[in-house]
Amino acid sequence: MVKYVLKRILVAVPVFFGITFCVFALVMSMPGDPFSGMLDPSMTAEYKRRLLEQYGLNDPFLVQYGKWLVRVIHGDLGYSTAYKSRVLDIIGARIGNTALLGGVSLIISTLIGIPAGVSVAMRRNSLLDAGMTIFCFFGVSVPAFFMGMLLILLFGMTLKWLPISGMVVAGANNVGVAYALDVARHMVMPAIVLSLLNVASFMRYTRSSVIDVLSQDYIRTARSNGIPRRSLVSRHILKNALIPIITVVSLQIPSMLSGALLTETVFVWPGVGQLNYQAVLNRDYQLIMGIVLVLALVTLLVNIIADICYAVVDPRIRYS
Amino acid sequence: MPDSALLEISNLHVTFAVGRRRIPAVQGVSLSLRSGGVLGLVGESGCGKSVTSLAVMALLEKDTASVEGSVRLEERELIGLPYKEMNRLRGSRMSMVFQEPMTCLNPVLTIGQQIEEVLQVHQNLTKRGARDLCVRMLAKVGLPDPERVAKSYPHRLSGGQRQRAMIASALCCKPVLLIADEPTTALDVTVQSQVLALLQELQSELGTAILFISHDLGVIAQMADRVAVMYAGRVVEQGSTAELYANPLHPYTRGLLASRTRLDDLGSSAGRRLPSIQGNVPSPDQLPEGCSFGPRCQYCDGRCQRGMPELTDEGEGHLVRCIRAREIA
Amino acid sequence: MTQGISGASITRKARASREVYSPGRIAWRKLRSNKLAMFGMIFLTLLIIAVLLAPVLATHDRDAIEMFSMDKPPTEKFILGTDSIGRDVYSRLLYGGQISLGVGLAAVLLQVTIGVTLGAIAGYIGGAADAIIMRLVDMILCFPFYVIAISMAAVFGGSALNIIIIIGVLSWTGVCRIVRAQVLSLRSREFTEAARALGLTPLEIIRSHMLPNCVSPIVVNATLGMASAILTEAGLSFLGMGVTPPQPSWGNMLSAAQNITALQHYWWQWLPPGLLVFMTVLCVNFLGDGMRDALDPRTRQAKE
Repeated sequence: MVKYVLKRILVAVPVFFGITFCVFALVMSMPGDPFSGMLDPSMTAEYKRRLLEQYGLNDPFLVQYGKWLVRVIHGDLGYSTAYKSRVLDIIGARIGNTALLGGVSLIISTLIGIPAGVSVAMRRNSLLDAGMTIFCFFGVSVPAFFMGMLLILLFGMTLKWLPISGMVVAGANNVGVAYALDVARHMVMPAIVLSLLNVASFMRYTRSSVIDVLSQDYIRTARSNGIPRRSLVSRHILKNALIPIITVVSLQIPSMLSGALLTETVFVWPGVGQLNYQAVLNRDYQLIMGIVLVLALVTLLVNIIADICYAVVDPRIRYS
Repeated sequence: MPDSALLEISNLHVTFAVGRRRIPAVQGVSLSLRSGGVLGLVGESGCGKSVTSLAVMALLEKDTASVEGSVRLEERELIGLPYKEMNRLRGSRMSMVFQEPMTCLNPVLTIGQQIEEVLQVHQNLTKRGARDLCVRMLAKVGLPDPERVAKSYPHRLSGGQRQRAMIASALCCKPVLLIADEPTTALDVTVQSQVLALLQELQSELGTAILFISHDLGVIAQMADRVAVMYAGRVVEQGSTAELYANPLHPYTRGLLASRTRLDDLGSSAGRRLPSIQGNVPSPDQLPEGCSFGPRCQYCDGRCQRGMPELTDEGEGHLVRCIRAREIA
Repeated sequence: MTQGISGASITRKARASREVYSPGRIAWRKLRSNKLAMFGMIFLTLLIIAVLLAPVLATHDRDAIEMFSMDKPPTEKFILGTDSIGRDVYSRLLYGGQISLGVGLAAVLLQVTIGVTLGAIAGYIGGAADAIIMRLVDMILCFPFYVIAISMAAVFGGSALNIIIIIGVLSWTGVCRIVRAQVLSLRSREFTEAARALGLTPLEIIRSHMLPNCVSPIVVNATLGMASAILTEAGLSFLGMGVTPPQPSWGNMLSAAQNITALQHYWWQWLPPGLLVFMTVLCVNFLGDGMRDALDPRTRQAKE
């Protein structure tokens, strides 16, 4: 087990360097020099030139990468021209909102998608199964922003039930429970949009995973031993079927962060995705690259954790 | 013959629905097994022997397989029994051992967890009681260090060990009937004979009756006191092992017996081809008219195509489904 | 006599069953019996025909501006009304379809090309090449798709060609894994040894012996990839980072809805492109899923 974890982390090391290298290459291909954004714009031109030389703008590419990487590891992701602030601070201020929206919809979609997937798998070829299959197709095919706009039009504008943008009512200055309720009301629509795709894909994966397990010989053995239905489902079927689903759920996290970009933009949710869009509009390149780097590293970390969870659940890996 | 059999299968039909087609896999099979006896069920793959056993255990998918006829265990009708009541019998009064020990044990539960669950479901046992009984059972099936085996996951055990564990889980509640479906086919030859010996030993000790399914006539001869030969979903010949092997009446049984390799044949028949039955088992949805063995039978003539022959008693419970059995004997 | 007849009928049956069980035919029959897949196929065929015939079917010039007809609702002259600068929505939808479908197709071709090439290299050469390519796959999977795509678009500029390249470069990992696994499993088999002994080059071995074995998963993967490519194009163009006006695409037509007035009052400007993206992606998914079922040997065995 320890060996497995170490091996998994070892594999992640070249991926870490690859990610940072790619981002650095993108940084280098951006208009302007890659370091100007890291400097305080209020300093004099002469001082800036000296600093740039000190940072090694004329060094070979790999040396520059090395120096850049050292700064990144120290938390220096550059300076945002549009926000006049350090990139890491701006991202830090927003990432909590993305995590809140993403976390809530991940929980919602897990709670709906997995049980629904199990129950349609147990009633294969029934009317419910057919209906849910069509629903899943709809869920993975509808463009998130289109769905978002339809919801805004229906619940925001026509029925006027829900606020259409932002995270809180501007200037309300609510605290405590009132604040939480305000945020919750703002979160309903973006959470629905973000969950729809995930509910659909969790359900599809769970369904096929459970169907796969149902056809296994050991399920027949359990039935031949008279194991009651409840234990059959919870112990014998789910424990096996959920192992691959762990991977699916964790793989959904980058796609959630990615989907957050469109969803947050449509609903003006002040998260990292919307920040990314703003940064793109402002051509705020240091901020763009900072976001890409942070999200990629978060994903890398999540993948490592998911693989370790997988090993914890599956004895075939745990003991090999 | 005892007047009341332990297991009485009569006129069992199993039909699979595949799309719009209906495929008859078992057609009017009747078998009976006395308490403590061993009935061998033999035939090529696809002849319906496994389907018969799964129908007895009610393990066929309800939406694709329709089961008709009667299966009585200890005079209790099993066909149409509610799921919960069937579950009460499965694992306690009757249980089953399957062919593939590699895939028949749950990979994410330990051997102990799997056997203890069976014990706890059927017997009013505490966790500790179930654990003790489980370890004793694992020792009984000849597994060394049963305490360690109980804590192991299936992938840590060899094929033979897993099959022993399977037998332990099937017999832990001392069922009156064990269905063994090709229990040794997937094992190495040496392990195969050990497992057969174990089954015989447990059978005589616990008095469990066994419905023993195999395509291997040698194994059947070693295990069974009565034999039923199946072909294309029907029993074509049935009798006591000694009588049937000494005096096979159906051309199919003769073919099966003739196509066995025997050690003492090897010397004398050097260079001669091993006799084999021509052709393949017909697909259940494309059965020929008349006797379904007809197209592969060297004795087949016009009369054989007029209809499926009846299973007739040729004396002393030796049944055969062939109108020319007397002529060609 | 009777035996002769029965023999003939048996061979006839055998022949019939042989015809029925040829793999391509089973796949086609299974696909044809899949109502959703057939619906998808018919819809897509009609759509492709309509989009290709855009010059014939369009009622107005693609970029022609009617000076005093802005935001006009559907009329006889403008079947689906006009957009905010007075262009005919219906005509732009047809031309936009060319771009949206074209970008999807080209992006998929690019991702299959990259995936097959790198997958074959990784599987056949193995060792360091394999390790590098597989880490590359891990790396690409770590980048949240839209985030990296929009950032690349910001750096390189938005255009149909750049969108194709961005999608292609970010989406080849699935095909690569499929090809790699297949090549890896066939590399050590006897017929590969034999082919090598006969003097076939690795390229010839891969092309004529290994790739044919993974055609069906690649086709399925590419079809489903097309669905997400169309969605991606629409998303990026919606955000203004994709196909740039005046060139229409369904995505950039949809961005009309970012305007609150248009969203509330001018449904003809954004609902038709939105529905077309949705229906197209839905039908591609129907078709792709149907093909997966039809080509999967496991389900084939289970159902036959």
